Amino acid sequence: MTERDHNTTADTPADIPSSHDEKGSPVLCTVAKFAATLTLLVSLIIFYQGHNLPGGGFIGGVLAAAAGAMVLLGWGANSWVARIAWWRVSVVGLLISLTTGVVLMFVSPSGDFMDHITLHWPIHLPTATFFDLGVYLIVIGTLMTVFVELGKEEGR
Amino acid sequence: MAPQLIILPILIPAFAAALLALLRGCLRLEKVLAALTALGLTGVSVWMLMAIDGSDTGVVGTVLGGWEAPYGIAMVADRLACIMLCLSSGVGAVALIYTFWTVTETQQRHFFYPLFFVVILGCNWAFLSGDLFNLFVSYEVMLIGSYGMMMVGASKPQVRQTMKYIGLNAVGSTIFVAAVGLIYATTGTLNMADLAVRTATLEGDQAAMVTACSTVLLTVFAMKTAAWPLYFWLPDSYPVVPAGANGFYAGLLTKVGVYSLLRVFVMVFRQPGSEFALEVLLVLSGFTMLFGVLGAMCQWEIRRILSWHIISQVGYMVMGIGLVSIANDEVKTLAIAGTIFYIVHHIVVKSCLFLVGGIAGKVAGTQELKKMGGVLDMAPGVAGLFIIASFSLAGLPPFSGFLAKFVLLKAGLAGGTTLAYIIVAVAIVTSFFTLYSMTKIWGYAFWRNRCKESVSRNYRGMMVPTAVLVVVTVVMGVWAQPFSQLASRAATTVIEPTAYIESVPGMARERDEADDRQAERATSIASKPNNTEAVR
Repeated sequence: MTERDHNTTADTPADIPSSHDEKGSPVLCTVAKFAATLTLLVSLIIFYQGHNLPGGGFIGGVLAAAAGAMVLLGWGANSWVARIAWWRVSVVGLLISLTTGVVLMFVSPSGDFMDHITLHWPIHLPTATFFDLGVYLIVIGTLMTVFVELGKEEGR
Repeated sequence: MAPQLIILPILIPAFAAALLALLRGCLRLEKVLAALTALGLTGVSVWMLMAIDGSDTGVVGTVLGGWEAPYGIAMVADRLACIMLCLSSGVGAVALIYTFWTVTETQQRHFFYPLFFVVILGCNWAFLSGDLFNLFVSYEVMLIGSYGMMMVGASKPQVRQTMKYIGLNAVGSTIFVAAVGLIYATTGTLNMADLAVRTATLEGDQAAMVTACSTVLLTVFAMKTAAWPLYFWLPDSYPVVPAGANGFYAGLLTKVGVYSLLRVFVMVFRQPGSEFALEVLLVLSGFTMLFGVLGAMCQWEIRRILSWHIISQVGYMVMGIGLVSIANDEVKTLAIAGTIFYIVHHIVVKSCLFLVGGIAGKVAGTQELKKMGGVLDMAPGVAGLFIIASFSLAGLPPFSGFLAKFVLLKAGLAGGTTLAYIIVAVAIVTSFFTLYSMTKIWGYAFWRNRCKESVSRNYRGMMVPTAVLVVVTVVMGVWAQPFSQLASRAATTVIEPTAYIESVPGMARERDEADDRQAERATSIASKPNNTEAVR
């Protein structure tokens, strides 16, 4: 009786992450909502300030992945975060970084791969930011793939 | 050619790997794109070799990221690097097309082709790198790709061998970084051109320090090339690589180590006493040849026999490098040209043998010699390819192996020291043993009539890429002059690095400053006889 009750309550709101899920707890979910958002924001700020101050794509990506890990802890391996093909994010990041280097071969005065220039319009933006964006995506993608795969049960 | 373009052989596989990964699941499209990219890459490499060989200096260098040497990341393409690029791209393309018949759908879904390009990327990067730390990074890229490719499909023996391979290479990489750190601490630079300039002016304690640090590096490269006594990892790990890809592994990966030995120990370290490392190599080469071939003689599985032969063949190349320790310009040029010719011959023939072995295994249903037989009747074409490749490996005329060995033995005899004579004797004995071991494969797998029914007839397509490599070894043997002359020209750049140094932007000025420092030190020592402290 209790068993069936438990199942029905867990099944009805299929899309909403359930607090009855074996991998989630209401406390964790409530905290994660705020903490993950905050972490993601901080990661973006740290990513952007990386050109002149401590920070950058790598550490920003690690922080963003930490936010992802909180969501995974809260909502378990069935949440939408776990269903994203994170390795694709990594590959796209790699392509962005490489493309930045190649575009600069044509745009920069020296014509070297990975040379750097600064865009002044519409905002002050060094081209290294695009490279760093690629790094950011590679790091999130790789770490999230690891988290999701390690979180899966064997044989799934 | 514009110097910026020399990184194309690195960029093309990098983009190819990323795009192929995104195409996961589109099996046919992935294969077509992979084959076209590999062929295009071969075209670019050949074009680079022709352009650079035809230029005045024979070297083109560039520095990435808008910084001058010795701070920027130097990339240098000389003739030797271009020859290696042609080999990695060309043999890569051949092996890649061969895998169309061997790779299963599951393996392809496990990113087989992207990983293939990551390995090519790592190799090409190692050949072009003009900086020791970058060389380390390129090794890592190559190794990560090779771990992945070895694990593709994740069967039990694969996991077991890959874990060993990863463990061993992790140790190797740690020593590599340590050695690079030591060299930076003693010389203050890692740029190869800058190192060649600075080490040439060292003397006394500092020169001895650099020699000591370089021997740490020697250990790492010896492990990567599978030289005695650090070869034990190779015969176990190569057989588990998916068929086709193992041809590429066998041909290229250990030769990246040989290339690094050649580049670093012949060209970069020029301090007095640098011959020590080369003498060590000469001694090791004898053991490597002999132990490799003895190991091969007691194996009964085609891939394992061939893997042991890689070790024994590496011995010949290391012998050529070791002969540079003999202070005689003629011997040096001959030895290095011989080594380069040998590398080309070996990569082509060894890859070819692995590919033929794969076909024979497919025809007979197994690669265990004791269970095989009758391949000659079932597939005479395959037997023909095998006999040519194995004669070439053993060094019979008129194939490329004969010439490669001949030049090396000639250099050894011209060297005239007792050690050189002993190594030459070992090399000749090893050749006979190699022939014996090849005869064993021939006798058991091809000649002996045992099974009448071939297990698979679907092997004709696989013979085309294999035949390409056989044709190359025949052409290199019969029409050898252009190849041997190219090898000699490539050798001169390695032995006399002036052109290499001047090709790196910013290095000419750096060298003049080093000369000034040298002159300053000479005057200061002359004026102050008590000052024994070395002035940098």
